[in-house]
Amino acid sequence: MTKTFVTSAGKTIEIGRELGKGGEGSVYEVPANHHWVAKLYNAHHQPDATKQAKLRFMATTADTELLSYAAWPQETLHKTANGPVVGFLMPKISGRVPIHMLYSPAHRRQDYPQAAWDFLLFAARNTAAAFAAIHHHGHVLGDVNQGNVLVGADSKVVLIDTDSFQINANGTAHLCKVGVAHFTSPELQGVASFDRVPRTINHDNFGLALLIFHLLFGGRHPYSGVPLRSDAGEALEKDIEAFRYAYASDGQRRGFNPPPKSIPISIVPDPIQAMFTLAFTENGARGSRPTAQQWVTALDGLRGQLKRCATTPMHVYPGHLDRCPWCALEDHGVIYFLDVQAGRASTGTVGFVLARVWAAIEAVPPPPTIPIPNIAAIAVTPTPLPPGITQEGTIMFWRIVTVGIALWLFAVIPGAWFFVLIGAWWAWAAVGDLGGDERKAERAKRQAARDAAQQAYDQIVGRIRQEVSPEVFAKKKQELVRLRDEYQQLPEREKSEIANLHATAEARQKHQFLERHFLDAAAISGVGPAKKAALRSFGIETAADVTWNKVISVKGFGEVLTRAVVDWRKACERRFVFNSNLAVTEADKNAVRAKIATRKRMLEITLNAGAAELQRLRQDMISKANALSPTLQADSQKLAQTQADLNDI
Amino acid sequence: MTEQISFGTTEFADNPEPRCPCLLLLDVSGSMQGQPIAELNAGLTTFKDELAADTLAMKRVEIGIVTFGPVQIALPFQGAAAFYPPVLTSQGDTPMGAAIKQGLDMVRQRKDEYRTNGIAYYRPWVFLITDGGPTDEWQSAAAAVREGEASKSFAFFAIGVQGANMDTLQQISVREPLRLDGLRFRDLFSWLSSSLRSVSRSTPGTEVPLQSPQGWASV
Repeated sequence: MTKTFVTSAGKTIEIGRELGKGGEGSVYEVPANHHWVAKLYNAHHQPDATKQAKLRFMATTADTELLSYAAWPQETLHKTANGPVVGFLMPKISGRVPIHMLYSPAHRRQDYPQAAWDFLLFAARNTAAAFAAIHHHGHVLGDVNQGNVLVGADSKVVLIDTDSFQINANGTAHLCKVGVAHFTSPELQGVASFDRVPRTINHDNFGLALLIFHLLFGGRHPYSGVPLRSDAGEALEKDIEAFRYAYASDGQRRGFNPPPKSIPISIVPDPIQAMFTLAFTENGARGSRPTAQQWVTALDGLRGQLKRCATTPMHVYPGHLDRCPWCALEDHGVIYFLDVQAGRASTGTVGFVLARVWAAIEAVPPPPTIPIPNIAAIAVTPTPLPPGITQEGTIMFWRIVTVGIALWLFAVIPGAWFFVLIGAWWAWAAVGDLGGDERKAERAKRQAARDAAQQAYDQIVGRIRQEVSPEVFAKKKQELVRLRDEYQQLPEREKSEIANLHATAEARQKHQFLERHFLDAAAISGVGPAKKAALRSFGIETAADVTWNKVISVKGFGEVLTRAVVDWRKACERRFVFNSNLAVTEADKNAVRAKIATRKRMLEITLNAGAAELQRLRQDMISKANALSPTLQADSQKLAQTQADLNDI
Repeated sequence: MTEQISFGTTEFADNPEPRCPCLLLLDVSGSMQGQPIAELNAGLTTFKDELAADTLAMKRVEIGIVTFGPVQIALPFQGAAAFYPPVLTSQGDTPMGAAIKQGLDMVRQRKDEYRTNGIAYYRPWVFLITDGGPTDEWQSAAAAVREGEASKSFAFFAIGVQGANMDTLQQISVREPLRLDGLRFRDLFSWLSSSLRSVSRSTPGTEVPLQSPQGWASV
């Protein structure tokens, strides 16, 4: 494809490697200016005349405010000067992640472990400011979604996919033709296509309120909750359309309770709760949703009155609350903000809180995997054959000549067909041997090189599979999951083992009672001292030892005598009275408790060390991966090269 | 002893994204032995790798696996991030009917969990992959599939590997069953992951036009 383009200003510009690919086109590096990237549309999405006009208008009206909030087109790109628009230049955005990576509690703990709720509040405020800037210019975002708002480590926000925005070009509206349905406002739900639907700022304000809600309320969608009716909760866009805002004060009438363990709406002060209600219910849909500027003001106000909890600096919350909401949620086992430093420092088991320890374990991201290169896809040029080795083509040529001469001879002297055949066969073989030895030697050399390369490659791949495989990490984690489950079941186990003591109490007492009845002292008809001695020699001394099978196997005991001995045992049993006071002694119980407590302590120590252990495994794998990667690259390259060389001969 | 706190449901607090459950019903009967099972395992690895490359799909897609011959839950529903494909080995006969019922039960339970935790979800996908025909009673399973499809509680796809009884598959699945070309499990799973990725970007409840299964299936 073309590497050089002409900008709208008439400058020639070269593009570098592809940075990313989207549905409509790809984004490329601009080597001449590292602050820029080029977006080029692919063959199926070449801009039509209207889209070209839209891009030209956007490029000519780019100002500092727009450029600081959005990846706004700066100059259009053309294949020839004044030709059709095939792409545009825009500011390069790096070091930012899509907003869904920030509002997702699990991702945030891995990627932004230091971010507390105040950071999310800043990001929400900056998102509102970005919307305000676009609206101030008379444009509408249209397609608000979880992927086109990017947030940086400084909480600053950049909007991307600006070429899909609805642009007001001096009164001519260039519409936004796309949309993600679960960020689409109730009044636009069910629209089959956005091709002809003009969007309003009020529609954008719905998407903005959704993003702010996601950020402040742990990534929850305000229209998902616990359904109270069978028609609710079936499909998110139906719930949006029916205004089933789950956190509304009249949410139950709307069909939802807020999800269990979710952040309560009361975490924000009443005026902001009212703004959410307005944005997500019928009144707002009539045109009065809070504007981006109103959100900026409200969130700035909230920013000014934050409190920090005494438990951990990670617990930041609005000042109108008496109690730390994050501590309250932790009491329910939900950890939103984790003090990573504190978690790592603790080694003892004092104040062990499973939820916190587990959140620290969950916060360790799995190690990245090393991609195994596809040998066939590595581009290499085969090494040319050394001079003196006849090419395959030359041999083929001489063979064709041989066959030609033979056929001619057949035609000319058909009588000598036998000699011709012999001659042709000899010539065929002789031609095949042209430079044969050198060829064979070269082939053997190349074969050996390929085999050696293959072996080296197999070895390194084997090592990587074994040492850097994510399964090692996963296995360790599964092991921790197992320990966690066991830890959670300990109280149950203690209870059931103590209950078990009661269940077996009578049997144990009876056994002790029977052990006190000696055969020697018993009067059993037909069983004299000699017979008793025989029984003793078989280990039968007390009533507790007597069973039918044991006795009958003693020499001299037939059915009658055996029955007599067993009946004696039964007679003893009948005299046994269970004493419930002695059933389960405190000592019995304490033995069980001690066993469980030891196990508990051991599990606490292992789980406490779990996060550090996973972290160590991860670091270990990263450093191993770094060490093995260059070898893998080199070995793959070598294998591809030797394979190509071998194929060439 | 201090009181313990229940841990079971924080996965939804940590990740409240809408879920897109995908259940695989995999035939591991004796006839899959050798190359077919090896290719199936390789396909599952491809599946995992491709999903893991997509941060949004990783939060939304959940995988469950039921193998049959005998019926076994090889993997309860799990987010794509925690999905490490089990290595499957081939064994007994083909109790397809029981496997379908077990699978649909799992889907129903998972949906109930979503609802009690206030999590939105996409219509679950059930994928049946087999190289034979049922050796047990399958008519009631087929009825359950038809009923579920009619009430839109899941979408059921049947894929026949060489040797599969396509006539029976046709009677089980409401959608036209697809025939796998050779042993192109990798292409199949690569298609599945990209389809799941596009579903996880759409809205729960809407019908997503599937990409053409060209490249691995002959219709």
